[in-house]
Amino acid sequence: MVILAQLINGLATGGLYALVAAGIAMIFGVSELVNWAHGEFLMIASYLFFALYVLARLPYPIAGLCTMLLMLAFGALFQMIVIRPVVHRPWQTQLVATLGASIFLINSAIVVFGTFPRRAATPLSMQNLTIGSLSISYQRLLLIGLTLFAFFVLHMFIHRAKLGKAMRAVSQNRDACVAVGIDIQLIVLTAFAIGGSLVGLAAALYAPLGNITPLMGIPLTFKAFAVVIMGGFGSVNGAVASAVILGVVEAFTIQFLSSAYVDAMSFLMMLTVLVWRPFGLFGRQVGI
Amino acid sequence: MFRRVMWLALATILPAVASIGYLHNSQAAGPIKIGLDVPSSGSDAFEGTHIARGVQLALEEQNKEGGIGGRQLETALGDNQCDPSVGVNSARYLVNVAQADVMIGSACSSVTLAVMPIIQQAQVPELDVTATSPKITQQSGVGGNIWKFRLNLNDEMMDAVFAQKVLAKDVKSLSILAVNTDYGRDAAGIFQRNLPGIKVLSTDYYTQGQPDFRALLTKVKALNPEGLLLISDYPDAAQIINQGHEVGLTGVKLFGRGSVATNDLLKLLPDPSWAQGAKEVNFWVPGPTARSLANRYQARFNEPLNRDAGMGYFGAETLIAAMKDIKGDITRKSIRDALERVNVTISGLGHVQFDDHHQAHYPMYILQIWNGMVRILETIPT
Repeated sequence: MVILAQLINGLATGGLYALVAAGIAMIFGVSELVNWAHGEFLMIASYLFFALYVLARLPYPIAGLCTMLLMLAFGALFQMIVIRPVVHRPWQTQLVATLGASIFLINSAIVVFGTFPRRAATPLSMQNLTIGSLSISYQRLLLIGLTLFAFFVLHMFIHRAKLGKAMRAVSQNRDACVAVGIDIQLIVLTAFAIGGSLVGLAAALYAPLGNITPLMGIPLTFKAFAVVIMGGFGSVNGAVASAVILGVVEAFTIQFLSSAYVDAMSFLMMLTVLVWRPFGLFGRQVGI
Repeated sequence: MFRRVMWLALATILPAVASIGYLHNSQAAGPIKIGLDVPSSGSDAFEGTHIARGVQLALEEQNKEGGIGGRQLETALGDNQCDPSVGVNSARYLVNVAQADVMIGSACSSVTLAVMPIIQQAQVPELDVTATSPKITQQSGVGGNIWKFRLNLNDEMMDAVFAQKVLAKDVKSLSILAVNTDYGRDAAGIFQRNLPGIKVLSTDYYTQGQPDFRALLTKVKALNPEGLLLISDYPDAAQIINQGHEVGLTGVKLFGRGSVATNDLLKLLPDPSWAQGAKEVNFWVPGPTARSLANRYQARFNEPLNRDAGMGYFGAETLIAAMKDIKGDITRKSIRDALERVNVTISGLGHVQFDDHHQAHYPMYILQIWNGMVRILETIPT
């Protein structure tokens, strides 16, 4: 039963990593730009959810949906304000721009919401499904279920929708896409908007399960980057698969080794994958 | 000719000497600068923010009374982010750029230990009000860093007493969850050495601010301990209690060392009964003796007084008491000397006097969460 409980813990943690990492991977795939502020997207989304659900007292599904839509707009706005001016600049400029945005967002949250953590518990997060000694909140079951559904929708969008196909094309051959008239700016904007809405979903599902703080995005950013590198930079499928693997490995490391080795194990795993497959598990240089 | 040269030399030198004297006096008449070496961002920002507010209130009250020797008191903020590498730079800023006369901080044990060589080199006194690692006391005062002082009690003083007076009576087996910092590791070590008759089933360390404790708590649940000791501050402790409830870790007796049995923790629990009975040892709590301070703090900042704000206030009061005792110029050296002599009773805290290792001694508190409130079970002299 402990093994099953840890497997569920790992899947839930992996699901959260995946929702953050998929956005990073998608953005890199189409723009070859690393968004170091992506973890702060989750933080902003969590505060938005807190404002809508706790302060404005909207029903949970509506607050969650509004968070996703607002984050979709936030992602697009972020691309226009922060990314567009540096998109043709060297990677160092892009790094400073996104890191600077990350620091700005963290400090803005401290100014607006203060340093005291916020909670946005839902009825689902307070009630548990108990089978024998296994206990899991309905909120976490929802997180696992909706994460799977979101990635199914994302997969269908990327492989079936015209815009999704264009995104894949841009990630594979940017110059050819320009030649056939694909609007690269629109594709990059779409990637940021989808990345934003995915963390909006992550916030609506995860914020009820933990503290909302200005720094909550930082540990997730590092884990998400490990996941993205393991999966193959730019590969959404790779990021999702790696996230789930990492979440499960972390849970079993805590159970059978020690919690002190969790981070070491995560990055050891990343290094092992890179030695074995230098371009990651889903191995191309770029491509979603 | 010689006489003319002499007059000319005197005419040049005298105004220069006079102006140096004037400049020195005008500098001495300027404000006394207190460097706030605390985290105002980062994982412990909640702690630094409250310490800074407590200090601010004490300084505002003293400034209304005319300051000290006609000089106003002002603060300079150095945000150490509770990160030793950042803390070293913010301390250098406070001593070299802001020219702090004295510092309060560093709040986090790991930063304090990293900053101690800097204050020693710059010869700036610093008073800690919340960091609890015993290493700080061991390395301060006689035979060590004579510029470092600590007002709050340390883990060596509190944990052994708590282990023998409370844990040994309440449980036969225990799991320990501690934050992975100098404070967490040192406190866990002290508890492990002072738990005769109690079986320690596991000791695990976590990263401060980590979002998910469920895997850790599932492991603890499988061990079935009678008690769970959290060496944590309230944001992490609240996460652990909430997520512990989710994985079915109920019925286990909760103990704390950090800021577990606090009103701040209760605000973060959906149901306060999840922490019912939790006991903790702490170096201060806003009790009945601090009611006047609590009212003034509430009026000034529109929030209730908590431990960190109270300790910030008492730290500033201790510095003020020391500086009032200085006969000549108030300098870094004279403040340090005055802190060594300080012998004062601070309302709401107790009698403050630093020992050879620059550690103050006043009573510690055994606290308990009971029916959604924090109550004082016992006050123990140190």
